Amino acid sequence: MGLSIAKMFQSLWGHRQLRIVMVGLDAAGKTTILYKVKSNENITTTPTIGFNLEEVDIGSIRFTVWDVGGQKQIRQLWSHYYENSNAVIFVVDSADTARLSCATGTCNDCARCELHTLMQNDTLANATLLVFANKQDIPGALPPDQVAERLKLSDMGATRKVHIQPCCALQGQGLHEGFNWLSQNC
Amino acid sequence: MSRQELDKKHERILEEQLRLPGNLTCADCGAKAPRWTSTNLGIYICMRCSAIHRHFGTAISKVKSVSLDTWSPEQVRFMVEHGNARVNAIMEANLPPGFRRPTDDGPAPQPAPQSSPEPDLIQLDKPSTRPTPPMAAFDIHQELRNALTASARNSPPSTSPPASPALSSPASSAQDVKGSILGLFSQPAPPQFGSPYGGFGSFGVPPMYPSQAPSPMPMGLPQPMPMGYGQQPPTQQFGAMSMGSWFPTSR
Repeated sequence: MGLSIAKMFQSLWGHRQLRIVMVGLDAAGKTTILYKVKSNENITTTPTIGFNLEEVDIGSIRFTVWDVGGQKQIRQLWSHYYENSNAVIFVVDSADTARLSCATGTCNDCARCELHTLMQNDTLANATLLVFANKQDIPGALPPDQVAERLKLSDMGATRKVHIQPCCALQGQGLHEGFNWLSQNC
Repeated sequence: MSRQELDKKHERILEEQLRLPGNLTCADCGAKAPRWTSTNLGIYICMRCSAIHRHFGTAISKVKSVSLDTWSPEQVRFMVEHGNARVNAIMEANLPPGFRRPTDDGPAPQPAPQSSPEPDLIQLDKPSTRPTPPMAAFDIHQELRNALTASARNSPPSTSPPASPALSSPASSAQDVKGSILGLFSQPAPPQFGSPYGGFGSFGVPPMYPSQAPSPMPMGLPQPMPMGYGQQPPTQQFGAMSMGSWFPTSR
């Protein structure tokens, strides 16, 4: 009885919970994004060995964000964080054009290869995909449409909800827009 | 050679490089046993300095881990051909005398101080909570300046520039100044706002500097600060930073 009343109150006034896994190549800006939306702080992040977990309240949604390290050897661990995820945030460094995509599509060390590998995982079959085209403030950063083209986001399948959001994690521009899109599409 | 064998070979080569005398310490801070590298600069750095290098962006420094990343043969060859000793001999050839190298046991380097020790200097655009000085404190300065300009106006024309009429005019003798000061008590001049004498005696006048609070420290003088990693130029304390700044502050 008490539990059902608590559930009713939570559904009326409580936070809707979304579980997000945030991945991307190393030095893309995942941890910087996490702590910018969490506490509006700019931190000089050391490379993430393992993961960071934070709960972020945006609007009436409570995002549980898993920020997983992006070094090549750590990427093998990404799949352990996929379960029950409502959405994937894939962060790319728009200025690091050399690692956005490869010529062969089989290098497994560029953003496009990693993105397509992870989205083929069965656990993420129903997950929404948000791509943050980060570091838009750096001269030479590719605009979001070119990033989407390099990542071949059009090949993600007809049923999957995909959105690319340009952002600058240090300034905080574009981050809340991305999370708002997630809250409306999860 | 399979990919795994190649990775193992590369890691073995890099581990050998890390045992060379120049590579035993971080190229930037001197911390022992660096495990990270800048693959385009050819140096071995510690994890804390790798954070700074990552902050620069990949156009300046491409950070890779010796053990957590995979390497291409070209990258490994580049690291073998360079290394801390060779690169620092070039990069740090013209270090200024007294350069303070960041240390590995200091506080973790941050792009910008999160809390300022002098909040009034940062929040110049906000109303200050500092109590204003008593009215008499600056009324006397204001009255004295009015008197001095009044005495210069009354004195015969001279060849001195008008910018500093009372003090530099040969006609304004000590007698004139004395008379003008005495005149304070007989002819009080109305208060003047917006005087051209910017710095002197004008602090605390709201119509003139609505955004500046009276401060015991000189506003325009940056505080002397030894520069190093994680410290921003002193002038950046005085306002919001631009997008292209070295270390953007939080907003």
